[in-house]
Amino acid sequence: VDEVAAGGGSASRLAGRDAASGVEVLCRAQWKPMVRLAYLLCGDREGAEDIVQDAFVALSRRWDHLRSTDAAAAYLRTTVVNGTRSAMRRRVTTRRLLDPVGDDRVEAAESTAVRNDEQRRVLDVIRRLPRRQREVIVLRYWAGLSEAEIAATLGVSPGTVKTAAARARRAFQSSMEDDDAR
Amino acid sequence: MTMPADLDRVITAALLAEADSLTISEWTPDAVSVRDRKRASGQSRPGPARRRSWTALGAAALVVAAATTVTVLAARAPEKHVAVSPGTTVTYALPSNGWTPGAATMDAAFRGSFHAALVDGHACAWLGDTRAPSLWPAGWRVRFNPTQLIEPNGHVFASEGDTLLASGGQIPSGSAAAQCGGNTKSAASLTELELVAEPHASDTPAVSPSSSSAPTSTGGLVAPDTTATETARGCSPYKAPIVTFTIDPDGMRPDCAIVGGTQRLRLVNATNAYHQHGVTVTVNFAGLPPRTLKIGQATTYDKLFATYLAPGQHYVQVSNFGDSNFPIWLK
Repeated sequence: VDEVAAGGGSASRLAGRDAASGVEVLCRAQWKPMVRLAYLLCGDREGAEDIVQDAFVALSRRWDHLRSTDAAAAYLRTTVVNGTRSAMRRRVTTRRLLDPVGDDRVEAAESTAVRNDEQRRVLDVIRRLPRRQREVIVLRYWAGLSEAEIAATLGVSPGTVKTAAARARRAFQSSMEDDDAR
Repeated sequence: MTMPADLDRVITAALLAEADSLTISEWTPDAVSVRDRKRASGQSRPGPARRRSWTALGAAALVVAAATTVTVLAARAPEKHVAVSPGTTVTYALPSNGWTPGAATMDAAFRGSFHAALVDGHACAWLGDTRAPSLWPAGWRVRFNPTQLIEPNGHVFASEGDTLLASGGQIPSGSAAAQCGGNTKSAASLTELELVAEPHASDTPAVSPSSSSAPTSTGGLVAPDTTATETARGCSPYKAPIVTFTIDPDGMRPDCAIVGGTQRLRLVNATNAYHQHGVTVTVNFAGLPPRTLKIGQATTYDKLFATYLAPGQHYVQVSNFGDSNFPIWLK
């Protein structure tokens, strides 16, 4: 989270740099946080690295067109979110054709790492959230973005973010009540 | 599981644990430039491993689809992402089934051209030539003049006449019938949507291809790049009559294609997607006169590929991507 929060700082250090050096600076600060962000959104480690590499390629090509270097980190984040959407859209379609009754989630080996039961249940709920709610939750609780920043990243209004967050919280509550009832 | 006293803390902790459990390869600064150079040179495209994986999955999907006679939803269907300028046009909510990506869906498949109409002030949209009540995923809207289907994120997904594929099923019509002015008892509940490239009546070539002449020709056909190796052979084949390439801020989508002689080329300028300003682009293809596309504009080449291209690899060049070549392999 700190690495993501540091994005603004790294962006401010980019002023005056050409694309190559600017992207390199941003890469060093943002590579891992962005891979983690993509992973939390799509659940696929290798896919996450691909998505973020594509995002950095896009950033390097757009460098001269960005309105300001401060916008670089925000552009990167939005590109990663959009990349995960595209990847997941294709994956859902393909998986349905290949395995229409199978588990709709392929959990990476890393996600079996030690975590307590409560956390695993929370993650299960997050994975089952509709796309936008999942994005809002990850950007809010992991990336630590404000409602306005999330809205800008997702290209929606702050009200939509608020609504999605509220619905996600209800989903958490409902899921946990179901567990209690069992 | 009892509701945690501090749900925020639990969610944050779970996400942190999940993210931190990830082993990430160290970043190599050269990777971006190498990746970009390969893409720009047309010698290779980014993510070969992933692309191979998708190709394999796509092939398997075709087998499954053929066996079950289900319409194939192409894994790499072209995507349109033309940003809608807020406030410039009134958009209308479509009757919705509330479906969102990731939720369960019924197994029926729908295919048809997209149409929409205003009925007593309400928007009605359907697939196929006959108006039929349809329920759309949550947040989808339409606008008119021109008629366009708009995704929840505000991007134009399809235009009047575009062919769409959808999963879903038939359900009691409810509000959909009322909104479409009909009294049928069932409605098509559409969930996951895919766009299939099709002719678009409003496409207007910026420059008429009839005035073109190919600089390098073989028997009247533009010769392919004889130095090309396997660049485009690994791309996905497209079966729709029109092969649509969308030019977005990051490149062309798809960035290559295998086509047949009876297909035609369509290009869409969506350089203003992803909150970018967008630019006017100039496209060069097969020695035809360059075509200039303003933001949001589309152009369709009138001629079938076989009438002006020799089999082999050809390239689409787009002005704002420098020397980048996007290969098209004519079988």
